[in-house]
Amino acid sequence: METTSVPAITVDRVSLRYRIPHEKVSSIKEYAIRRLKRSLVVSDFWALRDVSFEVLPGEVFGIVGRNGAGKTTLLKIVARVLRPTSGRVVVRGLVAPLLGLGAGFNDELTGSENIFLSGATLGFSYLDMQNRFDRIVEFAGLEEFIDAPLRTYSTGMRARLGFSIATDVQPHILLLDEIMSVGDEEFRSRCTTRIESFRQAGATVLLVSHGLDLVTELCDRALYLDRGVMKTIGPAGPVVAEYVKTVLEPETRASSR
Amino acid sequence: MTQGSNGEPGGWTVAESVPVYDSSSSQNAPMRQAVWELLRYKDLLRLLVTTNITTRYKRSILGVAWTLLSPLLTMTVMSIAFSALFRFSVPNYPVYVLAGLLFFAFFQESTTQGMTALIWGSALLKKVYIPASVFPISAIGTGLVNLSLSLIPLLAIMVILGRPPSWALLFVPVAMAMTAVFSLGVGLILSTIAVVFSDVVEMWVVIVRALFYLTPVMYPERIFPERLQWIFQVNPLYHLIHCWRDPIYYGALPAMDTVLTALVWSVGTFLVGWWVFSRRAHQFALRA
Repeated sequence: METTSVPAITVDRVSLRYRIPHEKVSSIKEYAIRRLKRSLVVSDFWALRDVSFEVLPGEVFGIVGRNGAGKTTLLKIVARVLRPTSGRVVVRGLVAPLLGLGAGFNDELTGSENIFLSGATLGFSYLDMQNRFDRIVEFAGLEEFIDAPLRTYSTGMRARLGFSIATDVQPHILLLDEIMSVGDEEFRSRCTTRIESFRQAGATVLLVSHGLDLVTELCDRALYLDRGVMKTIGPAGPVVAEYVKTVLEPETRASSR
Repeated sequence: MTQGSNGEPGGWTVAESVPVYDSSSSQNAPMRQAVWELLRYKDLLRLLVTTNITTRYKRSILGVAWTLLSPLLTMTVMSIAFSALFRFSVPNYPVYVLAGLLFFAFFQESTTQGMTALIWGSALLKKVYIPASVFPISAIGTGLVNLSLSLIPLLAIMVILGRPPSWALLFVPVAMAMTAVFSLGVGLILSTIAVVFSDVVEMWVVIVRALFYLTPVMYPERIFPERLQWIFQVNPLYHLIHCWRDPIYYGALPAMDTVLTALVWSVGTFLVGWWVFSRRAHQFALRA
């Protein structure tokens, strides 16, 4: 079929550089003084280097790697939150990003107010969210707490609400960053079912997780990132196996010594 | 939603209506495109404005009444304090000073709130893509709602003091629009800096204080020495306050050259602000 061959996400030789000042300069006075003394030291950190891959509609794509490998940065680039320093990203479709617990939540607002805020950040109208409201609350299982301020929520509750909103709006592309590792077993299985139905409907899912079983179980393909560089890309099983091997290797070597 | 729209189960086509993001083409989007995009987020704007207003009212016991009472109280204090000074030169001083205070409060609040709104919003900007300009724009929207509400006590005072509203008042919305565009320009510049340097918020307090005394808000402009009158001419707020207060206080349309100067200032400031802001907007998520 011709139409399905158009990738939902194209990442083409993407690199991203963070400039990290050695000392945090947060006032104009300080900046001016340092500028004059020429003591503004910044060091470059390349969070991603030359990353390229494509994800097709209907694919569930996993990203694995150690902490600081650039997984979240990569999701942020796809979500348009960060702009690549070089390279190009093309994303076709409505994106619902869940970067961290609950995308676009405000702690002082109540759960229900956050549903509307979160929906609005995705470009959905108040009326639209009103129609989805009951379903979102029900899926998140938060009927009793929905009028309490978000700061009283546990991490699990936040994750549930975030996932419930992001999936109810039926995006073409869903970005999940470690969202499922905080929920309980029951919620995780409901998430898995929902992701499965997303795949059936032809939506694309990008999944970052340290839960390697989950990646093997859910993902068609996966990418192993190591310090911002692509290590392996391919079917999820072998990629995860490769990752596990390289992560465990230094340890086994150390213990055998 | 285009899922399954081609009739085949699980089939999915990339329809025309599907938003496409291309990082290479959005480098410096033209303003027309940016405005089009903002329209997509109009509900977010509305939500930010209503949240701003309701939280403000929730916090005070008097609620909505406070917005109406606060300028009236300041007006009363000012009238008592300065009526001895300006009594002979400014007839109907309460109307004069109230109109001036409302104008200045709008400028002060909407620019200051533009900064705090973007600082608040930068947490959101790290998690989801939204056009960053919604935050400074929401501050202007909040200011406009509050200013419109304050028109009620202003009109009441005018009627009580025997300054009946005239047809010239129809120009007030135009003056409000020009002031809003000007304040937005200032807010865009300030908030761009404030994301990086948080001390701008405090510096702006000092600058606004200076502007307050350099603009004829509470005093008649004639008391300004002749050799310093040029300060008024280079002060955009001077021209804008005329556009706003002339219809209210004198019941007359402002002079044409005043309107034109105000218009040039507001559009010019906005364009500079937009340029500064949009060049930096994609870096906000990297900050703080």
